[in-house]
Amino acid sequence: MLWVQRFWLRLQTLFGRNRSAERLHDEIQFHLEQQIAENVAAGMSREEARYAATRAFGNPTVLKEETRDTWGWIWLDQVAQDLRYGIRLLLKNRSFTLVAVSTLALGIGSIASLYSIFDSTYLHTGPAVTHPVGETVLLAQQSRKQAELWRFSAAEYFDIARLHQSFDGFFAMHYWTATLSENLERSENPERVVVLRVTSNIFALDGISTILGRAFTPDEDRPGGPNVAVISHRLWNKRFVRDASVVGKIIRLNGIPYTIVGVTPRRYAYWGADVAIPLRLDPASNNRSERNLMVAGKAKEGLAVEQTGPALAELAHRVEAEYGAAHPEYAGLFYKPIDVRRGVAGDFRIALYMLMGAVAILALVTSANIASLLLARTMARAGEIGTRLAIGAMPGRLARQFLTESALLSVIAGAIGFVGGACALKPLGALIPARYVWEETDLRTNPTAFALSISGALLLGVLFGLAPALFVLRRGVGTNLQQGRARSVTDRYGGRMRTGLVLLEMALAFVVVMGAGLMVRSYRRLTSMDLGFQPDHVLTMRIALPELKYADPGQVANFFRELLDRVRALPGIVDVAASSVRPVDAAGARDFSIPGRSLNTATGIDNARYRVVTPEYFAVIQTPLRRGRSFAEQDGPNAPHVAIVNESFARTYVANEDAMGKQIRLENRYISTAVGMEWPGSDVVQIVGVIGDSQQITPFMSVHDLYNPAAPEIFVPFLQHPEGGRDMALLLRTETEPGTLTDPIRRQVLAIDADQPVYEVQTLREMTEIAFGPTRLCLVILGIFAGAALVTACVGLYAIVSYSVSQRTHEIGIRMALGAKQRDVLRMVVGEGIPVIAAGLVVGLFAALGMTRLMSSLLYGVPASDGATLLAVSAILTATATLAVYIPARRAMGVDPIEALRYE
Amino acid sequence: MAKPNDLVQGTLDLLILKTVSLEPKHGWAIAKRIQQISGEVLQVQQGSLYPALHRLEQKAWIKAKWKETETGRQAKFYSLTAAGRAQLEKEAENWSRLSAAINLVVETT
Repeated sequence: MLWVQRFWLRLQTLFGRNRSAERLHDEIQFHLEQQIAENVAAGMSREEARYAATRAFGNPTVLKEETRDTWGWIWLDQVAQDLRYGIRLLLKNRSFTLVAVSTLALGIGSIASLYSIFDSTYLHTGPAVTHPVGETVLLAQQSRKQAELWRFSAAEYFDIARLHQSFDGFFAMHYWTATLSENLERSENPERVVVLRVTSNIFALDGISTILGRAFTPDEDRPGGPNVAVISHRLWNKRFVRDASVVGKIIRLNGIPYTIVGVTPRRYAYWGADVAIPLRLDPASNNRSERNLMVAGKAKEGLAVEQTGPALAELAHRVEAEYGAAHPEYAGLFYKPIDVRRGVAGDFRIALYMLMGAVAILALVTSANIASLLLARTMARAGEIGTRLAIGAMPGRLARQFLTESALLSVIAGAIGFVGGACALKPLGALIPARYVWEETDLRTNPTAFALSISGALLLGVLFGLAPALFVLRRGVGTNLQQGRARSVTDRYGGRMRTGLVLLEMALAFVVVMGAGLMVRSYRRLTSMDLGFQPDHVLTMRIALPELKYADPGQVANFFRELLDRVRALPGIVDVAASSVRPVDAAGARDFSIPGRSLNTATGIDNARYRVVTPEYFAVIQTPLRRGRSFAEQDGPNAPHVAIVNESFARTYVANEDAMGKQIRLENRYISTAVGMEWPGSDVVQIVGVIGDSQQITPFMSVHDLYNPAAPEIFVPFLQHPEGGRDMALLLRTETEPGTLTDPIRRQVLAIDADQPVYEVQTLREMTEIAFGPTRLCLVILGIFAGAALVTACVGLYAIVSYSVSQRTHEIGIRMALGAKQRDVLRMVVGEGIPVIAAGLVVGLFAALGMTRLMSSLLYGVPASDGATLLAVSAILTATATLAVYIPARRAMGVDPIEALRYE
Repeated sequence: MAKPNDLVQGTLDLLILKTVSLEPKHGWAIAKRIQQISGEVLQVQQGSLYPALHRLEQKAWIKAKWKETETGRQAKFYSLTAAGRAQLEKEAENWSRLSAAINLVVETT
């Protein structure tokens, strides 16, 4: 077997290479001796003969090397050699190694860990829809008689569902919040969940297959069908601890039993629901006026949302023609398609692009930095390279060694970055509000991100390590030797390139720091904004009384009266109130009309935000009363019905007149946002007071909504409207930090009704913080990026200046020997750094002005080109950059002329 | 560095194999022999000779043994292996085909 023989030979040469090398030397020596002997025989003197033989032979070292190259696997030996040499070199130039490895590791670690965090948040996919095929469209209907209406009746849904042109299909849904428990007799751990009552085709249209069990079928989605439920992955994870036997289990929603038949996959937003149950619409329904359904459709693949308009218009036209006679409100009917992705995820998408941009910039800064460091180092070794080439080193072999060195650097940095990034994940993740994280367990290192950034680092090292090496190798022995000797002459090619790279770094760092600065300013504006109410020291929680148990409004009133009395008596409580909607919740809107006055709408009916509150509400949240009086105990069920409106309402509807004493007729329609609440009956109420406007802050709002003027609001006393108050929020003003009061209050609730859960326990401050969450999230992530970019850029600056100082030690020595003062040296060195800093700032300024415009929709109260921020950022950058220049300059000042001159 | 006098690439291997096929020889002798036989036309440079020898050895076509020369000095003697003999035959045949073909072209044109 020839290959066995060859393999054996290779093994022998690999392990016996020292002996082989000796033998090779002998062999060549023998050859030379033979030649000399022959020359002597031809009549030369011994000296001449040796000389002639050696000359004829050529460079024995090169010959030996070429010969050794034919030995199998010798490259393995050479790699090991390169590695050893590389490690020795890295250890020798500790400061270079430290700088290069730390900045590269910082870049890799922060990019990879931030990407991992980012991947676990809603930011990655947007909060609403995950299914990529076909745009999801939410429908609104509008006609000449009624304003834009997001609700549809069953018969209207079936009209739409028959439309196949432009759409794959439609589903109808209806939200409901319910108390989930697993046992009727003794409800353990009851919790509030968002229930989606939905047609069975949602799973097919959203492209979702359950990871456990099955989805519910059209058969179950029929009047009289069984009570089945499909739970979300989040609920399964949180409440059922990923119990695989959850399918078949019975859960109770407000006491009604449902059998779990399936679990949705991870990261399916499920339209914000925890549980879905069949909607069970009756296809034979001809109910056109009871509108409580939302309708969503899937546009055919490749169709943009706007392109579905014609098909919808045609449909609306048909519906109007067919039912217009019986339903005058259909006059001028049309259906408006709304892009769910854009509508719901607007701010998130911008934040996403912004953060991706920050990643790209940090990656650029890191690469520019490593490029300039490696360039500087290779140039510094020109002399060494020249010498090695002169004594016969082969360029290929040298290039390979440079490659090994920079790859070694990248691998070390990659490993440190990986470990550091993985360790930083938890503390960094803690900065992200839990609300934005899909699921707790999602927060983990993303292997792809780490693999990508480490191979990126390797590529960088190889590229930037090899390019200058090849340049130096190609320009030949002479130039290199010359440059190696002439220490005072800095090489112009490398110098200019390095300066350019550092300038680029400074400019890029400017952009990121500017972005972070704007977010800081915006966030401070947000948190110091006058909200119109005082969110500090207010604890809130919700209590929803089950309809089965509290059928009579009187019972509801009694429950809350008793609870408020008990809680008020607790120590540490200043005051307590109850309200149907908290100041930071999205309030629903109630239709109203004003007797004796025609409102500017087709029907004479308009709607306003509507809250049912107890008399203490305004005192607890500290909204000022502008006119009239607040609610009082006297506004009982038998007293004349009253209302309080905000200034915006008074301004809009009773302008130029005194609002006091005006009557409002509350109509029987209440449009809730997510929570399904009905407000039966109509009522005429009299305005008794006007309160100050307050900011409408809602979760997932865009910061730009804050510029909107306050919307009109109507408040009515709880005692006169207990029918709508089954689901109430408690608001407590406390003397100290409210956190510790949760348990005593919960105990008071349980003392009245042992089965009654309390949910959404939060401080009002927390709720406002959540609303500002995207801003904070961007702030935190951008802040980290900015810090990393700034450090990297300054390190890059520091490295080139200190490199130049070390190259000019000799020159500085001469200057000092000739009488230059330390101050002159300092000025000379710093003077070299200042133009780079200045140019970097100018370029960065313009780049930042261009880039930050893109994030202007995330900013509140701060223009994207905010002068104060620009100044502050320039100051920070100048200060840190000057420090980076000053440190090596100090070192140059300390140069001892005698040492420096001897150094050569 | 020196190449064998316009030797067609790969023919150095053939020359070495042929030279060591009769009896074991050391590197210097191989170079001398090729030079002599070719009537001083083919000059084998050391820069090519030794890498070639070691390459052929790694391919197991020749094997080496340290022996004393007639002057009593230790030298490395190369000799042909069985695989080397087969290779020599193959390359020799290739060579005659090639040179015949070249002759044909050169002379008929």
